[in-house]
Amino acid sequence: MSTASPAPAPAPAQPAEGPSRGGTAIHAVLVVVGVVAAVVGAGYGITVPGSGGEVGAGALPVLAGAGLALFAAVEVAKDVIAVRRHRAVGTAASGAPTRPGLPLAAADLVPGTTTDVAAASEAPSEERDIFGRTAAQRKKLLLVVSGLLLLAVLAIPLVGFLISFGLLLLVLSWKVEGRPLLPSLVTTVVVVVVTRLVFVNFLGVPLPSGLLGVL
Amino acid sequence: MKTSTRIAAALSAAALGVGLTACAADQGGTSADGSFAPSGDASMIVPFSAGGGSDASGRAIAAGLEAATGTNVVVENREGGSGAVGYSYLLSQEGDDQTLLAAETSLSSIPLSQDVDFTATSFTPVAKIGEDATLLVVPASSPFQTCSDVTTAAGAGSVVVAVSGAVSLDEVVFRLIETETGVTFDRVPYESGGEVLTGLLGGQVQVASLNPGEVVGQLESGDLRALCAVAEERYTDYPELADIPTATEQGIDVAFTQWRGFIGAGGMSPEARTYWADAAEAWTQTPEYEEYISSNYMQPVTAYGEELDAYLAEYDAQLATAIGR
Amino acid sequence: MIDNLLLGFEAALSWQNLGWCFVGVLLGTVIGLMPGLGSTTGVAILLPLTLAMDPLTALIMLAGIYYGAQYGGTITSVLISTPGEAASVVTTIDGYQMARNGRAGAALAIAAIGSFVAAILSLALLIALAPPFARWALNFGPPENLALMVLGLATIVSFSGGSLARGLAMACLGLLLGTVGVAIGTGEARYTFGSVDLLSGIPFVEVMIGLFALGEVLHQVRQGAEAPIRARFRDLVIKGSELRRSVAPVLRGSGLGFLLGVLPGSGSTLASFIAYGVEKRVSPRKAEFGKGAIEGVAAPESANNAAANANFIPTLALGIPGGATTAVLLGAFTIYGLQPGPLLFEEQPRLVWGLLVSFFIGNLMLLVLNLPLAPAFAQMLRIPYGYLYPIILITSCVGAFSISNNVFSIWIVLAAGAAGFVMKQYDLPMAPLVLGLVLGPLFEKALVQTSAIGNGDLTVVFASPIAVTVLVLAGLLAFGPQLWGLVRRRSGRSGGQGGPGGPSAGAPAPTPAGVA
Repeated sequence: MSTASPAPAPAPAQPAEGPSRGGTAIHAVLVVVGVVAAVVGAGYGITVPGSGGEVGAGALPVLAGAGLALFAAVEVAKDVIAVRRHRAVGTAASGAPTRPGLPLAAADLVPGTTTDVAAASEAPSEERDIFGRTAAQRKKLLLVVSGLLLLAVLAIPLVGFLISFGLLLLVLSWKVEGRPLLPSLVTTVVVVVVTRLVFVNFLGVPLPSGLLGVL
Repeated sequence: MKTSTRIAAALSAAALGVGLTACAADQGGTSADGSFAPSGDASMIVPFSAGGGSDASGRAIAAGLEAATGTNVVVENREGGSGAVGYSYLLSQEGDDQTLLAAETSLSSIPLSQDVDFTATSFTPVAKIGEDATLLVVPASSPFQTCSDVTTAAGAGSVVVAVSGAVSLDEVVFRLIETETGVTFDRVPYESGGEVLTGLLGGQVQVASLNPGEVVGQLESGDLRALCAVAEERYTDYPELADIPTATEQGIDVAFTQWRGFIGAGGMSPEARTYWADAAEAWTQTPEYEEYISSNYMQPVTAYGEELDAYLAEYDAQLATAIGR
Repeated sequence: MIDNLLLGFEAALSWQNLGWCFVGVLLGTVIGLMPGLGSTTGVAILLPLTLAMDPLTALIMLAGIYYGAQYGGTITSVLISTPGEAASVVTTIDGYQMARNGRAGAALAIAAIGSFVAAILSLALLIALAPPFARWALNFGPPENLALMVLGLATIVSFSGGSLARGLAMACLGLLLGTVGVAIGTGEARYTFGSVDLLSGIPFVEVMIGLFALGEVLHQVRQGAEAPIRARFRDLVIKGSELRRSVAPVLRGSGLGFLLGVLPGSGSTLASFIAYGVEKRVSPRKAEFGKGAIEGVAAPESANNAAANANFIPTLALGIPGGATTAVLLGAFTIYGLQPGPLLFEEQPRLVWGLLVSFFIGNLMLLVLNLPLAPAFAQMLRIPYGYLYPIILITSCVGAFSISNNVFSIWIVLAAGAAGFVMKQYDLPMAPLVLGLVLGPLFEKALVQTSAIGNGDLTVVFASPIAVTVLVLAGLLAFGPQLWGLVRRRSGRSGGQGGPGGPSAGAPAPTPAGVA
């Protein structure tokens, strides 16, 4: 995506699809979470037993859980209505009719680029990033990066933090991102040494050294 | 707010000092002749956040042990659950000779009032290094002049008191007074001594029970008044507190002291226990120890080994009758 | 008072004090650059360094660290969307967008300038009025705090993005996460599922690192990597027009931050959120918020710095910690053999006034140090993303680990990172979640205490004029635009959501708020 323009929109195809199924599913999950949390929370006691109705340990959990369920349900309902309207209007629909008003996008850090995973895989669009990667390739890349990160954390008890994450850095920059070996190696060594100096030697944080016990 | 957890990391690092290389704390060894020597760093768990009385005593003890043994004693704040998190962590270090915990009343009061996996006997007591009591304090403008004024008013109507947790020392003190006099206080829960002080100064609560070290500044300035000391004796060693009568003098036969010291993990070797107890005893002979005791308005009452075991057993029983369910 | 100030300058202006102040500011900035390490940690970590010093010198250095660390956190918020502490979460919203638009240097510069102005203003107030302000702050008991938390939560409206329902849902989720752990008062363990690590609650800093830093990395990997930003050096320098736009936000932010900072316990996070919320309401350029509006950086950064200063009022005047960092500083007082309390001003005038003056010096140093350095820091974005994001992963995880020396923290980061990714993919706003998580425990505490005071009756809130005033303000912040629209419609003019709201600056204008 371009970086100089404030409103990059490389995924224009998506909004016409109407509300994404993934999004609706997430909202539905939140409804369930809210209901379950509220029910469990009620068990903690909405008021303090034996008092004159003082607020107890369960009050906020019930309030927040119910609120979560309610507001997420509103979103589900909006999605459902939008899908119906979308069908009624037919393929002529453009834009998202259910979202009146401008998206203020306060926390939405990259407005307009939210691409539904499902929608993207159905129609692997031609848009490529600056390295010429397609959407499908980037989806794979995400899985690789997440998997390697998980692996690195799991490996901490074995080889220690610095070795594990040093390897992660090397593999990510050299193999996954296709950077030249030498700069990747230099970056890795510099980062590991600086991390060790700052955190272990200066701040005295006992980073796990693993079974190997080195670094 | 959870930011206080960051202090935890910070202070553990602080105890290490700068420029020292920290290795993962590994097991010390018991050599062939049966003596114990720590290898690598030892750690001192503080089950409360930085800034409170437990933190101060944990750090003072850690510094004292460092001076006495030459071993680094890293302070780690593992706060949460009114102390339960720190003790639960120590429980998981079963058999470790180098993980210590700055303990006090909460060792007994948590298992008595919360659903936790440990009891007061799950660990290895090492040393008691001092005793601390509380003062009942009121704002300067309060109509109460004595502690019996407070209980009388509570009997006739309602008196709002501050407590800083379900198992905290002030809760114990008020519970003991309630049992003794048959009155009931209205409680407003707070989360630390500092917050209680704010509530008291702002007039949101009428009475609070605080350690002298926490309120001496406000007492001297005249913002707060101490009604009585919930202790066996008056603070005769400290001129600024010597005029405060005990609760017993005012007709409420309640005294409760908080012990401060440290414990080791359950199953700590006898050699290690002796080693740390000796180090603690060596520290109590130093001027630094005296400075710690006097700046916190504590009593230099110590106990080690079996003497401490017996003290704790009795203490636990006393607490169980006071707050047990 | 002039005597006191002179005494302060005389005490603070020694080469030794100036030197250590500089060291403090510099070390603080470096610490603030590390994810997870904020001012509280910075002060606590470096406390032992100062033990051998004269108390005044030591406190001056610690105060330098305090300010430096806050600024360091701002730098990472802007450049890599990783807030160093809760108070700079809001800065990421527009600061990071500015960086993506090639205006990182301007964002960093306005943060430094705003912080400096805030520091000077709040310092003047502090020096003139510390004791009366401290007494005023004591009026904020549980009912008033409850009203204040409602005001904080009312800003959700400003952080909800396209859909208010979504923002509210996320805020509720945050509140819910905030209830995990031991309940205040009754001591009940909630939603811990037997985990000891969860007894102390969902650790906030780890969640923040995960949501913002890791979530953003995963999002960018999925969306396609960003090109390194190749803005020219002079593009990184702040423009005159940007400075002019920032004047009012900086002043408003400073005022709000000061008022909220005086109150013990609420502190700079609340100040930064409310300042952003208010700014978005009153700004004539509200449509730019969230897309890189410089006002969205100027206001919260001024507010959190003013609050950080005002935090010292209860600390110095009453001996009550104003926030987490001042609590650690208060602990430091005792280590140096000083008894904090109301008498500090009278018994230790040289120390107190020297410290106050050193705040001024420290902030000046920070400004002098960082104005030229801001464009240099911004060059960090030239690092190709193929190297940058693995480095962000490492620093995030090591920073999280160092919070409590526990691998559990790293797992929290991973979980929050996955959540952050999903939220970005599906347009769920993060700021309300953070707001709920931060304010939740404070809100609940005020709620429980208020009901304890009223014996179960929460209407005691309405007996307090301060609380009622704050609640009215909260209502205005949340529903002001709708009310304004109603008033305009009544008076015969067609209001509604027509054109871009363009009434005179400062007046609340109708906002397209998703749900009417």
